[in-house]
Amino acid sequence: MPTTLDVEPDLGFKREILGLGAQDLTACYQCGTCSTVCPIATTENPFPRKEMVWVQWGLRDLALSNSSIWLCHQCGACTTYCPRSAKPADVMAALRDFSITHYAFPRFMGRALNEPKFLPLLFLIPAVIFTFIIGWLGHLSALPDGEIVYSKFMPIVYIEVVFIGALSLSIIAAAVGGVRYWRAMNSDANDSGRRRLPLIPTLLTILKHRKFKECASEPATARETHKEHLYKSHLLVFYGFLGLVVTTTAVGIGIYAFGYLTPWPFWHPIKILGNVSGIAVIVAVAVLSYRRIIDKEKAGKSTYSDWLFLHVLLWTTVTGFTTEYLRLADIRELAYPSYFIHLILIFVLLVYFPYSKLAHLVYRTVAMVHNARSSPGAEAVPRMLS
Amino acid sequence: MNEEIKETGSSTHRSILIVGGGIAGITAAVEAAESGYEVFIVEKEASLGGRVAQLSKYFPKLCPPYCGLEINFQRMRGNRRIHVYTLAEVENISGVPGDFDVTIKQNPRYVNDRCTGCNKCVEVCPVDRPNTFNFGMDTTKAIYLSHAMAFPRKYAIDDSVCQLTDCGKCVGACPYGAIDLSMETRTFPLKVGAVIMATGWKPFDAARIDNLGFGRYSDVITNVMMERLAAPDGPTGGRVVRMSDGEPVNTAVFVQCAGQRDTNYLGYCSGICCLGSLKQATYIREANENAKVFIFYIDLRTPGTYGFFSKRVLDDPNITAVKGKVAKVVEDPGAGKLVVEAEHILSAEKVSVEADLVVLATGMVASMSDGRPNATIGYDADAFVLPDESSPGIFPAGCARGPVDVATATQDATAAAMKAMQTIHQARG
Repeated sequence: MPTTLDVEPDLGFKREILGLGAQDLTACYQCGTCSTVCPIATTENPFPRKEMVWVQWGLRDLALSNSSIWLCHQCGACTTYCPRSAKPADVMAALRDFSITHYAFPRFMGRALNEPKFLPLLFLIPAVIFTFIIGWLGHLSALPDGEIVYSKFMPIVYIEVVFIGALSLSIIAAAVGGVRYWRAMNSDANDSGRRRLPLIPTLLTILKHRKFKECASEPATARETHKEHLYKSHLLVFYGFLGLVVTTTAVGIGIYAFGYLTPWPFWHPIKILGNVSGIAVIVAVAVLSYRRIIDKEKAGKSTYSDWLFLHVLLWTTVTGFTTEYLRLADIRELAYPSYFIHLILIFVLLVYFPYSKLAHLVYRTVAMVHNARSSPGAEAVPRMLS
Repeated sequence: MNEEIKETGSSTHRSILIVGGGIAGITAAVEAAESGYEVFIVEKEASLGGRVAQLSKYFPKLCPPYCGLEINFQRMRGNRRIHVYTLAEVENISGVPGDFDVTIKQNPRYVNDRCTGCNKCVEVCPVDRPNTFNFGMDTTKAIYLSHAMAFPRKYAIDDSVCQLTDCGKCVGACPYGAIDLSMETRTFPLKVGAVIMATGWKPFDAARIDNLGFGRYSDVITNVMMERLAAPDGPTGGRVVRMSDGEPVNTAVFVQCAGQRDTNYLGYCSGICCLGSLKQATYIREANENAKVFIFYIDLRTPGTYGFFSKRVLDDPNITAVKGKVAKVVEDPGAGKLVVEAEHILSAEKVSVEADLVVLATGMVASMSDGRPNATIGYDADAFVLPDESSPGIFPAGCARGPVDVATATQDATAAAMKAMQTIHQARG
């Protein structure tokens, strides 16, 4: 029996999605080519065809409570094969963009990261905090004397207080967002009883980039999708970022547990890890940015939040290197300001993560865990008609 | 009917050039000639009938098209005002309504009017060629009759493969002296008062579609190939079987909108393929009483009054229409079957069918997408001929104007004949 669906179109929602780079959506005629060529859409939850009609009809709640928008890894096969040039991949990207804002806690922060007018404020907050600390220490009028040691300029403990404090709030906020999304998915899914959360398998899938690999190795997508690079470039940026996180954590442990003060020598394994990871991030971001520019017609448009995130990630890493090399070159007048900017960028990158593109850490993971729990072992083997 | 070139002289302004000898061209020719006008049909193939001659059955009556073609051929045989040039193309059209100068190029047939169609030449011919009439599903000899019902019933030699005088076996074998290997291409002028462009269509090249398996798997065929497969004079003598192994078809899938309504290929709907596939589903069911048929569609389009046909066909419990476009066809190498994948839109799940035969409902491409005559004729972006505002005195008819079914093409051709005659009448003052 067909079920009745009360359609209450939220046209504001539709307009917002169209405005997030998905304006070709209206050409969609619901043929399902996109779902069929999608290398990772499953039998029971094929996407992105239904997401297209949800947006067309302004069915906001349906669109935002499905795991599919985050299960999608943006391989672009749907856009490449779409007979209407409706660019379903752009719609999925816009839905992700929208959902980060939608599930954001507090809601204002979701808007702040998506509207250019708030950009100065985002940088002003850490700038004020760090300027206050520096002023407090008396470095605003005179930089520290002698050999360049950044902890003389900004003692580690101040940094730890600021970042641990702010990041704790961010993590709580991210958790709230994640729980909101989880609940929304539950209300929509046919959840059959409690099962354990498949965290380890999901983590392994992420670490191995298994889904990116599936996206890249689909034999039926013989056409160029212009997203073939994504498996490698995301792998690079992912492990580069992870390497930097490990470096920072190890340095913290070194300082507090062993009193091993920075700067550490160049040959130190952790130092090498940091440098290599930094280079990996810069290379990956360069590739990702370059492909966004040259492929924009075929592989989809880039939005404000795409570029904001790429820029913050790039300049955070670049200022990390300039800070390191200006210290080695002993140029005090530039080294300390470089460190100051580096700290601001790190703040913007990390503290705002539940609201920027980096929020995919939370939402994609939540979606993958939810999907693995509600349909364990779901494979892309379609139901056979006979 | 008269195949000789007439001195057009005084009848210049009472003559009509018809480009294309398919159902539209033939209809226009008969209508105009029976109204007293001199008609020249220029057909690029060796025989008349065009795409209609290749059909096994018409929808919705499921009757053979040759019935209607024969009636028209009979009307042509008895009418001396109709002149037919086969293997010929129009090179040039210039002039004004009432007074057009036309240049025709006719390729050599190497067979003259003495041919009786006895087939002795074929028996000795050593060279094979792909049978273009059957879309390459079988072969003919280099000297061939287009098909069993070819009109004019004269053999022709394909000089792209024939060794001509280096071989010459057919010349000796022909008891009537009908084979003349010294024939050459000739170009000649005509004067006409009006022109009807009945240039028709050609099937979309399915090999361009990279995800539906055509060209990779021999059991993926197109809808026009399906017509030949079901036709009594087709490559299998009308047995509907798999091209790969000759086994019966237990499950067939029709893929609607294959390379159509698609910005990567043909942007438009050809308007006949849904009815075509519904019709062809009956071929599968007639050939095998246990066969199952799945028609995957985006919208099942049965324009005008054809809705009843869809209902009638889909009443068969073994014929299922599934909303969802097929986007993937792969072979299951173990089973020797084709796996067809789509999203079942109404239940929002991915589905597949293991099929013995996959028929791609490909569309109609304007013949004028290449090889256009040198003339002031307006074409739209898809190479269909625009109405005569852009080219006074030159009228499109049938599929030259846009993709239509046979019934519409014949009505359109009659209208074009009427317009051509009016043009001449007005030009004569």
